[in-house]
Amino acid sequence: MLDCKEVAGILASDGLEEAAWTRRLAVRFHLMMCRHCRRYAAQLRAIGVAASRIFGPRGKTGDPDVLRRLERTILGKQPDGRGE
Amino acid sequence: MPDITRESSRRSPLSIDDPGLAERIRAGDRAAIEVVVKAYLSHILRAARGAGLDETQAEDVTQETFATFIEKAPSFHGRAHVRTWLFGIFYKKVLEFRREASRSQQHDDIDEIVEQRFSSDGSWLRPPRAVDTDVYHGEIREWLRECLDTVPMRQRLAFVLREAEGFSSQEICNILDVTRTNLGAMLHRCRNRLRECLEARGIRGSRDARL
Repeated sequence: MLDCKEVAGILASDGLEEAAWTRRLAVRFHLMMCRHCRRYAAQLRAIGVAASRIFGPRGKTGDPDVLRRLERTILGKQPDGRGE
Repeated sequence: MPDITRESSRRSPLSIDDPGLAERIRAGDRAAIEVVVKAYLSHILRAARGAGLDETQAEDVTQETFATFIEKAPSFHGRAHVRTWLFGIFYKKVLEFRREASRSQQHDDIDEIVEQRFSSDGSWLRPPRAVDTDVYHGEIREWLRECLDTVPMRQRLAFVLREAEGFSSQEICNILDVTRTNLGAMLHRCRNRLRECLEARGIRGSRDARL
């Protein structure tokens, strides 16, 4: 039987990703029984969602002009789209 | 450095998932390089901001990442996805800017802080507070930006690549050149540092009882 510290460690390190089904089941069972670990898991999820909203594709990409300017610089294009 | 201004208009249109993309990148094909730049420019810029660089540094790192990508294009063999290769270049650029040791940190204060939250039998001594959805979806974003500034850059970058870019653990290991165990420790430390920081802010803030 996994204790809270082990479950918290597995969740925070994404340790379930490659875990055997028996371990996944053990974590799931623990979460069903333990409201503190459910809160911990909910906190981690909330932090992940907030991070993806700040820095993910749905977040602010920045001024489209910045991206256009960078793209032109990187590809060595003139503003009118011609190559240098 | 390949000549990316080479004409390639007679070739078929390319997508980022085109199986022939790696070969065309290696050949310095302008169209192939343009596809990569257009597909990942905003991702690299966001990740640079996510790594904690200011706007000017983020733009500089983005520009230098793609400059190196174009310069090294002839050595791209396509064993890794172009995205992994590109982010590997990006990571090295970020390290240059932040001048932070790239070796794994053996000791981290957060480990002791986490340890103190559990009793000797492994159960919670100081349990986490209940998540208040309003707080977590409102103030948390502002707080998270501030709390992220307390996180060492490599941990922060691993976390951002995972949560915001959705990279698999294996891809992040390849980009940061760390083992899966190292990555687990980095994510564990980053998330716990953020949790502790956010809880502390919640305790001090006006929404004390609700975080």
